[in-house]
Amino acid sequence: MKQQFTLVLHSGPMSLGVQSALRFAQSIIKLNHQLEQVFFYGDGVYCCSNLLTPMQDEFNSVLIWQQFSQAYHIPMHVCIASALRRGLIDEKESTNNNHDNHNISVPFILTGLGQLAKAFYNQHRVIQFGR
Amino acid sequence: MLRKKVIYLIKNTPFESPRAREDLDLILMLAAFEVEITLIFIHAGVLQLLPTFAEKINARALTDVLTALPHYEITECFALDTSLSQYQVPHDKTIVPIRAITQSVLTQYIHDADYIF
Repeated sequence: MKQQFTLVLHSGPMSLGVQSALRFAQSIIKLNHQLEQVFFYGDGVYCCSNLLTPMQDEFNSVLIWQQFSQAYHIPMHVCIASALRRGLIDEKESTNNNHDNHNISVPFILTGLGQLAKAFYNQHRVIQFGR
Repeated sequence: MLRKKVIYLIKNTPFESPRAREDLDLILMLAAFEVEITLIFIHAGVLQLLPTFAEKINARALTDVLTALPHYEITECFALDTSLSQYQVPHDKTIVPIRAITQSVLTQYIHDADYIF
């Protein structure tokens, strides 16, 4: 039976949780299940900063998630409260808060916790990593 | 539609990071979506049950949120008995009423839940 998944990522870009989440997401696609969204919460929002500049031989979480999202059209949702309190901000919020710069861009979308709460109603599995 | 049962394990100290606050934000949001939530404090999370003086360390107190839980139909909270002992939290002096449970009861709760968070 085809199952619907939401993945919730709680840990930062250098954690093993990110890589586990990515491998799990790839397996969901490979096994022909449905990945509805990846939700970045808490310290997980650090994975979405386009200012991340790891060494060449290191895991680049922002690039990997961007490529994954574009390849399979998976929404990448970022908790807006977690992001703003950690200095992660998109263009719209940057303007609203009178900042000069922003460091979150497509495919990452700032959204509220309701986006995650809905998953508990209409999806089979909500799996979290790095908590 | 049947309400989904969520076991929410609270395991972070109250002020070392925003996690405790973010746990409570998510709990209130899930409750607003009428998810059936059971809160279980384990490990260092039991320290959230102690009265604190958050204003002295420029932190936002979690007390108000915890005491508001009954308004969200979260009427019963649990704590793992071994964690209460380990962190010397007397279960009759907590800021919200809790029931101490054993590891085997915790296992049963987890087994019966739709989601564990």
